[in-house]
Amino acid sequence: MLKLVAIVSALFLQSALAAPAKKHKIVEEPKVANHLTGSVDFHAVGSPGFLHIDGSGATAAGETWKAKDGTVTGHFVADLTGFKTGIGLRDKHMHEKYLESNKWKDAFFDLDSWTPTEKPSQFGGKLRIKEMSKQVFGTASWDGKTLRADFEIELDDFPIEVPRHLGITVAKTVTVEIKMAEANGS
Amino acid sequence: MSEIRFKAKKLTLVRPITALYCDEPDQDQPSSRIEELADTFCAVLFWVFLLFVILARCGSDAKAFPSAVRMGYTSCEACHLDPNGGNVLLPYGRSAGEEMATWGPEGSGRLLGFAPDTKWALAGGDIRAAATNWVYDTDLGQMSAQSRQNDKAFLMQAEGELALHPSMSIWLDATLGYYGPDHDRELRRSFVLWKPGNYFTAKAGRFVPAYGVMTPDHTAATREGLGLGEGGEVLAAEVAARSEIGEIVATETFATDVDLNVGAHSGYSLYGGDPGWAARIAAYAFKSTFGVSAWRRPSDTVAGAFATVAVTRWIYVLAEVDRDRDRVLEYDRDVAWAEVGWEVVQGLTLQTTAEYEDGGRYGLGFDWIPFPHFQVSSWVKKKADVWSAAGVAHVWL
Repeated sequence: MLKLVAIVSALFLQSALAAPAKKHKIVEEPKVANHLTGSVDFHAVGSPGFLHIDGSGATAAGETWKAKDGTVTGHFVADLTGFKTGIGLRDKHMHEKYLESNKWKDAFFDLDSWTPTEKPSQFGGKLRIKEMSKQVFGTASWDGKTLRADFEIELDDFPIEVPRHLGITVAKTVTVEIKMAEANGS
Repeated sequence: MSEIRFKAKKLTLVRPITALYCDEPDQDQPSSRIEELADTFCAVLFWVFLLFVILARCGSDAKAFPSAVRMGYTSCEACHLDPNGGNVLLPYGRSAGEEMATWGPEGSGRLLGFAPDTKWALAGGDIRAAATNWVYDTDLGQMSAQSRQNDKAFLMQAEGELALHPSMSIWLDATLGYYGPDHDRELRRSFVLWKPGNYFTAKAGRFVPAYGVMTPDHTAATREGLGLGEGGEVLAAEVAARSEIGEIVATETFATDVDLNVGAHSGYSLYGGDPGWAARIAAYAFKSTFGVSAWRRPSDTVAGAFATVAVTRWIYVLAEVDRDRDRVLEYDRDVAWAEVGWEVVQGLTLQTTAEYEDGGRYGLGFDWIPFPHFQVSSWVKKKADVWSAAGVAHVWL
């Protein structure tokens, strides 16, 4: 009988102790993860014909730091060598002639102070491709698990020749999309 | 406006025809060298157009690949001279052909390197042969009589095509070849194309108006079933506007039946039916195309919706539904066609089709491009109790 009372008491005590912790988790402010990993895609348009060129497969990793006022800054690195567009010759030209990813493997992005929001909000930062850095602006959102961001770059702003191939010219404006999540173990 | 007016000056000799697009000359406009050049250009353009009209003859289907939407090609314009797709390839299209083949080393799309690479001319052509064609009726338990008649290999098409580029924005295109089991010699597709930039084109001559999914399978319910298969060309003029988000194509058709065989015993005659019009509006979204189209012909009006959808880089869906209203008989009928394709390895695509035209028809087949310029396709289709099968070998130049 004493043993039964002890077990019931222990269970009750455990529940009583656990309840406040659960309650605390509910009211906890969403936080920006310190370490993020994910992917980078881009979308470009070639003319004539308005052919859609979608690049994917590039991996990205980064760190963010949260300030007391809730804003975050960050530093991200994208491995450009993973980009593929679904057409072999185009990929070859992209890496060898335009991105020169064998020479400039990574692109870097420094996030300016940004307040994470669940709905897309404006952000800014400095993007470095090859040896050139340029301020870019876009929209980003953080739902507590996933960071999504997109922005446009002008190829003219970076040492990237406008891609041309047999009469098709790629538009100078390229849309970049980033999707990242909290890295395991962070 | 004055610019349009003075162009008419030297065309008054053919006033009954040019009145379609030229206003009365403005007597108040001072004559100048530029005006004379413009007059000459307009006159040359007109006579070239007339020449093409005279040479035009029916009988074609497009040889484009709407399934290439899975590779980002929502529009045909990147690869083909004709913005609506089909036939002669641009240099980029030859390169893209290498990416559609199982084995396509760089340069192989240019006729293995022999295709001329000039800025003022493009050459092309198609040779197609039907390898087999049988029809088996499971209800009767025997091959059909029509099948025994057709059960042989025959040349469906052997044609050449030449496109000339005399100025920055003008293209002249014409085909000449043999068609069908009787090897009729025909000049079947020809047009003058004006491409002043990336966003606008105008075309006049003989061609298939832009309508729905321009699939190369001319036996599809939405092509042959609507009179858009082999022989679907009409005498027409087309204007089109395209952008990154979509396209609008408007076509005025002047004659739906032109009989002009070159050297054929049927002789030469040119006559037109009642004029009509066609229109296609499409939006490019989600790497796919969604649109509606309509075509008012002398006796019927066809209208419907279509989509070319890129599911993944390797899987696509093409679909079209149409209603054909016969205004003479006051009779409506519906046709539908859908194709799902899966490129299992580069160049080899497994396809399944579902069609509706006076009953359902289902099919299974494959399409293989082993090398650029070579294509083999085969399919089995079932409609009610009847199974049919066919294979086609296609060589494009």
